[in-house]
Amino acid sequence: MQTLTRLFAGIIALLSFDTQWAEAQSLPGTNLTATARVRVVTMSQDTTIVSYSLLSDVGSLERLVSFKIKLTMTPTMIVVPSPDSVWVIRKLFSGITGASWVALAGIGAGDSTPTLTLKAIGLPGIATAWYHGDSLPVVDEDDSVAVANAPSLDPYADLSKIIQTVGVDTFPTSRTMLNIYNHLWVVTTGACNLGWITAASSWCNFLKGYSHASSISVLGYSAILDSARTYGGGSVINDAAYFMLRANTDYMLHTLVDTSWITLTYVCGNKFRIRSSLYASPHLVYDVTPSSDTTGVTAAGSTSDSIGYTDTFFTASTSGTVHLYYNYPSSPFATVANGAISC
Amino acid sequence: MRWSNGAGSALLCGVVLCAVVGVVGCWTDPDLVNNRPVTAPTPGGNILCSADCVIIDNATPLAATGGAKDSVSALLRLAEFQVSGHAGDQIALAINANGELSGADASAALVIDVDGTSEEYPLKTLPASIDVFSFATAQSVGVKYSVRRGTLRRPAADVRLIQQVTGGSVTHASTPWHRAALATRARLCSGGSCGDSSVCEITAATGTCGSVDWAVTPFYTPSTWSAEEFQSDSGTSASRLIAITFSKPIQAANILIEDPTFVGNTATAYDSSGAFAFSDFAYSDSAGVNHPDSASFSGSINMLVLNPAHSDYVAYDVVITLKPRIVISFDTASTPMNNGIPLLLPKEFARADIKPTYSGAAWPDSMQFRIRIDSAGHPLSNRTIGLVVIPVDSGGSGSDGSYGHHHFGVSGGPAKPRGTVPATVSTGDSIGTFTYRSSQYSAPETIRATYLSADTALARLAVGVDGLHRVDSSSTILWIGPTIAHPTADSHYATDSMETMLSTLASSFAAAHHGKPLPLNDMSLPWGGRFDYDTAKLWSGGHVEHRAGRSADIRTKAGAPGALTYMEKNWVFDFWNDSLHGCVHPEPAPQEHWHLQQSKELGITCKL
Repeated sequence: MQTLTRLFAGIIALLSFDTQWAEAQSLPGTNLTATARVRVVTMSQDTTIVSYSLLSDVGSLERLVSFKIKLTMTPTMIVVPSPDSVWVIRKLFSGITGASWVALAGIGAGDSTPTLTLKAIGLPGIATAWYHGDSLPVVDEDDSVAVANAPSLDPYADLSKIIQTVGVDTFPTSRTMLNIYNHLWVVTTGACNLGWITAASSWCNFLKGYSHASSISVLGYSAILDSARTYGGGSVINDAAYFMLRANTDYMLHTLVDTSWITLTYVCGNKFRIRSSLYASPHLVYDVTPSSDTTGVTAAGSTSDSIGYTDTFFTASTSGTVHLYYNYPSSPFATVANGAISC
Repeated sequence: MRWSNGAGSALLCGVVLCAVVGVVGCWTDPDLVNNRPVTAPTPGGNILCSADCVIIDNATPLAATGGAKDSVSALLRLAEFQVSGHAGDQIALAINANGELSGADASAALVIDVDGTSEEYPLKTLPASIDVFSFATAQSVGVKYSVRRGTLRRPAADVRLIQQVTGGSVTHASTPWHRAALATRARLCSGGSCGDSSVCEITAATGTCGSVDWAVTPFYTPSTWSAEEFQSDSGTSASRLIAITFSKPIQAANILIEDPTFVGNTATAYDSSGAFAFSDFAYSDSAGVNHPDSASFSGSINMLVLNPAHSDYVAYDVVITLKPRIVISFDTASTPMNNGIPLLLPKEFARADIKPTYSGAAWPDSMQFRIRIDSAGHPLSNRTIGLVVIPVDSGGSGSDGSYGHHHFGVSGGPAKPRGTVPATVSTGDSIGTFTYRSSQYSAPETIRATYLSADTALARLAVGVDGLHRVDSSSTILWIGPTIAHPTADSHYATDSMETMLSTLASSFAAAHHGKPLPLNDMSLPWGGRFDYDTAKLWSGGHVEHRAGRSADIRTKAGAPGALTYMEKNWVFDFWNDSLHGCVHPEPAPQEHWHLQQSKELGITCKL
């Protein structure tokens, strides 16, 4: 509180309350440095979960009060840190959607916030975030000169520190392998540009090359990413970049189902073949008309970038036209008639 | 005081009165319209006619023959002429009675006297024409027309007697009953039909002329005279004193007395100090002879007293002229109004971008008035009217109390600021214009316009911000900052949307802080404007903002009762800024507090 009072008393050079302080300081709310640590980024189906903690630098002159992330969607959940009586969370702030945590008691210099977690539907991406301290510009409202000369200051643009951190990007309109892969390239490039990945000429080029849509090589990208993570004792890529890229990669490896990458072919008798170029192994359902039988089948994912596909065979219990479903009983994405060829 | 003859009477009268009674600002405007006759008759005649001379053109004089206490058995003189002619010239009398005289008593007769030789003609058998005199030689003869009194049913109004002279010439005429020669009534009005005219004829016991009400006591409308005249009682017995009172002073009065026979008929004019002008009327001293007379008063007349001579029967015709009026008007279509009063914005808002708007434009803090001087319905040109804004500074006990300022200025300090107008304005060709500019303070304002003795005109307007509502103290709002000069009940006004924001803030704050109320200090006064909260600088210092119901102070001073704690301040900032889109800035010691603005809500740049 004492610090707050001192800051109130002399924070703006314009108003010349205390030039000694004013010369030494920036605008109120920005006289602190905090490191936004990304603790974990994971995906559960189509939901991204990001956890952070902010460490206020020991040299901070203001107590850290708020941390806000701008998202293009409303989060499905913001976890209130403990104790909840001293935290305020908000999904909409000043007309901005995202996640806001306000530490009512403030976070002192050298201290860290508890874990701040949000969930939102989308892919891990790079987002704008703000944090600010506990100081506000002081102006004597009874002083007409001071009021007339008071500058227009935006609480976000002027009175906060702006950073980039991991956020959540909206899914592409169509969740195709190409579109998701392009997002990987975008966030990879973004991480490189932000310096989250050092040695840009080598690791960044590797990763950007592997993530380029001209050669979809998720397994290769994943291996390079892990190599970068371990190379040099973990100094090549920071947590934010690694967790964000890892989650995007894992989504493609384990979750993404682009049915255009799956084909159904009649073999002989009642035997059919599912050929999948996906990395994930989705659980599919087929039925045979005119019978009412429905049967589940797992389409094995590709285990190699170079081979590019994996075949899965099944034999229908009856002869008829086979329909293949991903989200049964929605419309089948593949339909093949029984060719009545003896095996 | 008698008619002197001619148009200068009113002016002369006014000048004399001013000189005698010392009436400050006595009306001396030469354009003052005086509607009384400038050709009023006097006994002995001053109305010349040539071939045809109207003697009577209505039934009044004949009806007057019905008898009167002061004229029993006397002849009623209708007219006198001196006619010169030569041999062969003729004098005749044309009679147009339409048989209305057939009901006259047998003794009632028209008497025609030519140079002392008279002949009588019974009224009930009057012919259409009578040959009065034929000139045998060149000579001048005196002709008198009279009526012998008798019982007579009131005849119709179109009884006409006209002397017709053929060849000769009328060298002298006296036609006291010929009323057409009297008042030029075209400009007159009566009672409530006066409209904007400022000249009226007294025609009833009570009535209204413009903004003036009159009362006549006693009052009786006689059948004997024309409808514009009155007397004290019915019949023609001795009259009593009549008092005419006015609800506010009039400029002038013209009094015509009918049938004054004896000495002692008087009229007296009163102003606020008492009787200031007196007139005794001429009299005929001959029963049955009507010598109507007039008196005219100018000044600031509150009352007229018409006192008849002892035992005399008289009737009166009174015309009053109101004081010139100063008329102030404005364009109502483009003027914001509040309960019929123009409402202007206090000027010099701290921020132009938070000025209220009216019809899509910035609410005006000035307005233009039109002003003219109306004299009997006519505008006076090139007159200089004095203007002043009357300060309303009753310390809050008067009409300015509702504006939230319960104080005078600091001793030795400035007086309450008021709006400004030019010291004078000219009426130009007919209508002048001037501009009023408001002060920074909300207040009722009155513009006073003065011009010589004309009625003072007042234009009232209000200065303030319309539509502010009080944010009441409640379980979630703790009023802070009571002062005698600006009680808390008057210092917590806001716009509707600001009120909603504060109520939401307060209820949410209480819910999040175990019911603690929000310590809410100064907001805006009931009508906005500069909030001079500093008791050492009343009418001079105070808040720069807080003028439009879009600012509020929150107590944050450490140790002060109810002040926000550190955590509460962080909560309020987050809620006000991020949830309600408002702006916050702290204010410095020693009275540190938080200043909340309703800015982003209005699409306005959030300043400090």
